Amino acid sequence: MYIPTTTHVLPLVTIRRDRILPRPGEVLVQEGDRVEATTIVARADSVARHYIYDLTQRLQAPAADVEKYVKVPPGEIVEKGDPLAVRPITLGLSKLQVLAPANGTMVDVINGRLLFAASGADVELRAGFAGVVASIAPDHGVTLETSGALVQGVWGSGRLSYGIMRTMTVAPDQPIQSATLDEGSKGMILVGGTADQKSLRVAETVKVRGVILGSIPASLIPTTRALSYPVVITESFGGGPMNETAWTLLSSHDGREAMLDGRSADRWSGRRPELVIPLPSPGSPPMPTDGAPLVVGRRVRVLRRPHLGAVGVIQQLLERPHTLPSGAQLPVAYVEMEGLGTELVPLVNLEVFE
Amino acid sequence: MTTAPTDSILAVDIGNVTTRVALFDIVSGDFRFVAQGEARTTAEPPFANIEEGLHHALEELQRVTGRAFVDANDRLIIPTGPDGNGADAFAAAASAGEPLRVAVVGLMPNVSVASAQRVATSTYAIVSEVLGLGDRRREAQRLDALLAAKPEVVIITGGTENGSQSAVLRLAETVAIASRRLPDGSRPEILFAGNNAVQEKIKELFDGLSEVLIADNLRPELDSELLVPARRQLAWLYEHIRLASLGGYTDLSQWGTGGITPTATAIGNVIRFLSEATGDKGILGVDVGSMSTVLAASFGNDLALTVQPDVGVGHSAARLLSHTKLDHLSRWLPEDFSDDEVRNYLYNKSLAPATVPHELRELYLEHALARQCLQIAASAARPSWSNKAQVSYGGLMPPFDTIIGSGAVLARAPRPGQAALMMIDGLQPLGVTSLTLDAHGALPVVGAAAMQNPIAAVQVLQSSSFPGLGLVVSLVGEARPGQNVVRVKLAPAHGEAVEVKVPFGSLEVLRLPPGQEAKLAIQPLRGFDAGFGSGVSKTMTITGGEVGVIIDARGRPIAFPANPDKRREAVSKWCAKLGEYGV
Repeated sequence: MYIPTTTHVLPLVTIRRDRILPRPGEVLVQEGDRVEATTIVARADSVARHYIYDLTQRLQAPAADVEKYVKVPPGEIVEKGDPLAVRPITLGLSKLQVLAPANGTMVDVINGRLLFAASGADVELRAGFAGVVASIAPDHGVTLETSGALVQGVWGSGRLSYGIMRTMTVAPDQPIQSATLDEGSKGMILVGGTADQKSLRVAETVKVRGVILGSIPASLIPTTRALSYPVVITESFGGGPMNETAWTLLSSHDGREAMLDGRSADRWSGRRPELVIPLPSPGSPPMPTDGAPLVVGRRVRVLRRPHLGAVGVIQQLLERPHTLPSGAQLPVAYVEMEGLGTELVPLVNLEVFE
Repeated sequence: MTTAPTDSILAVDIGNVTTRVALFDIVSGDFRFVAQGEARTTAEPPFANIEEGLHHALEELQRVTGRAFVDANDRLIIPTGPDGNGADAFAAAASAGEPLRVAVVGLMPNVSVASAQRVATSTYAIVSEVLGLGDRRREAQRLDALLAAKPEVVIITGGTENGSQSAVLRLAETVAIASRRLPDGSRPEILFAGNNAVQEKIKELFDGLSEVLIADNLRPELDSELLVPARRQLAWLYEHIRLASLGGYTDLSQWGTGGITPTATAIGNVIRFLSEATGDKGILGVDVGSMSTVLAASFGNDLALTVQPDVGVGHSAARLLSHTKLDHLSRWLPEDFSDDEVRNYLYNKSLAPATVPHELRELYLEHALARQCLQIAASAARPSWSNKAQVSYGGLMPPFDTIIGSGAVLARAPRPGQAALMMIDGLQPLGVTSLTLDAHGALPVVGAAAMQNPIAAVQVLQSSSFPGLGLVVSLVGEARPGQNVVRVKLAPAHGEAVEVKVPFGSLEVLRLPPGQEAKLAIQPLRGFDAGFGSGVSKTMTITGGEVGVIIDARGRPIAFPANPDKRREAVSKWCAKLGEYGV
């Protein structure tokens, strides 16, 4: 029994996603609360940088004595210029002192050295999609739930965003043309077959919120990573058009609000680049299921040339290994591919696609 | 480790892509590899439990052997029952998971820091930050860098015995401050392997913050290095931090008595046992994985173990471009490929690491990738061999008696000659070297079994389960392309002798079937060394292999024609001669 990876492109499912702070902080919502994409659900402070002051040198005092000159207890928040340690000298007429170099926190005095943490920008986690707070991990984050459409990608350039979807091409194999990008694209998540460097950069200037494509060449990865919005691809690098299922689903929801998560896939949490379209649902639709084995009738996608990206249904699993054109001998399946007929594909080159 | 007599060993290796189980049993008085089962590793979601994949692999093994290994309660049947089910011993190795993030803290960059880095590269670890005396950053900057690196382990070393104490303690203090700044559960473990005189002070420094493991000083004297104790401690930390985080680890670790050994450690052990068992000959074991590449070089009991944690043919394929230029990969391709095609292939392979080449053109790419992984790993490992190996030529490989190649990309090469060519091109051995292929992907599991019974492991390695590919005779020297540089005569015990002259820039193969003996006479031209000295001839008795005798007259390092068309033509000839691509 071979259990491959699964990619979901589903019109209506229950979607649960975690929003976890990179360091402990404050959760700002309650279980059961309704949230919008823009709702800040958790916040944590951050440290921009540390400062270490050798008080024995700065105060010209032995290490055993310096603590008595410290004016601020550990953990206290101070403003730039506040005195942290002061030693009067020349009968109190003058003083040696250490002032806070920035807004921040007095951490501690360790072996005669004062440690100070300058505050950085707060980390704020936004919901990213409209839904309900399903559960809370105190000080760490929340799990959000919504019903809606789910399109999983294979790669993302980084960042998470949300906006109104706008289909930019008439077919899933066509490139987004830079000439079609204008002020009307501002705040939008663009959908297209592919894109070149110029159109990705023009999209930056007109302030789009994200781009989801079938494929881009791998040479564009550095360009996409430098953009202020996420780029997600659904197929492969240098590959063919966006799969018809995803294309039809995305096109049919043109104008709806969606979340585009371009953060890279994480093997250990199961996170994938994805697009989520929150949709009203009369009941509670099922959750997507992963871990299905390859069996006859299973819908699959091919992960390797010559049929890279082709979607089909398993017709037969052969018991004996088959010799491929490369010379490799492997277990294979007959797959009836949409528009391509039936082809033999090694099991290890298939993923469940449903 | 025990060497108690056992009749059968069930060994498991859990890789990033594949989980393998293998059964070893006594056949005609010697241990033999009996059968194996494999399944996809299930360490990641949705299963997030390595036992799922293990059970699938065991089901396959049971199908092949007719022998059950777990009872109705999912417990290992041990020892073998009267019905023949179960096994007498169990051993497990694993490499699944991300590499450990390690920071290295030492004094002198080329002394203690270099030694600590060598310890770090002995397991699946990425050195994410280095602090040393040569560091010009202010202490607060070093602190911020350490916090940003998020190390899971900090190796602190420095100070020879009776040497510096205060400098080591000063650097360790920065680490302690970093530990204080991290929340509970995120603090790094400390491995101290420096001046023994400050051990207690180091423990005090981290009291209540982090666990401190102590190992012998890596540099007891400036000119001596002691890596083994620290290497063992780091392997222990890898198991207890990384492997222990895998779902199902706790249950699996209770199946046997030896816990779960890091795969690299298991491979290193079996290569060392083999070297000791063959009269301290130089043995090199290579394992090209999806995520990482392991090189274990042993000269007697002196083992140098090097793991390149982000050099591999699957998950790490795209990261290759941070180690090497695209051209260095493309030069191994016998057909014209655009840079875009090669780059797209690398990134797509990282996205779908378990996939295999369907077309011949993609096989070329996959095998070029494997060659380059081996070359990067060998270059990184070479400095750690310098004290152990007899180095004949600076910058080249030391001579090894035997190279054992492991990993799916080698084992699943459609032709044995392709595996041999990848090993020769990637490692570029010198002199006369036997090549052995781990055709069943069993080296890690044999290594795991070696933890239970080293003799059994050596017997298995010397059995037909590890087919000999043959011998490669590699010549060092320079000549103009086409000039004959060596004359070779192969006289089989049965059959006609064959004599060839091999021109510079080419490969020649003389077929000699496995098990068949022959006399091999090698007469290099003056200025060419086949491992016996420049221009020195030698005749030896050899045994055949799946490929036979390979004469590599391409020079070291391999000389590529500068013109792209001529380079492709040359690579195409090498592939055709040895690799039988497309046949």
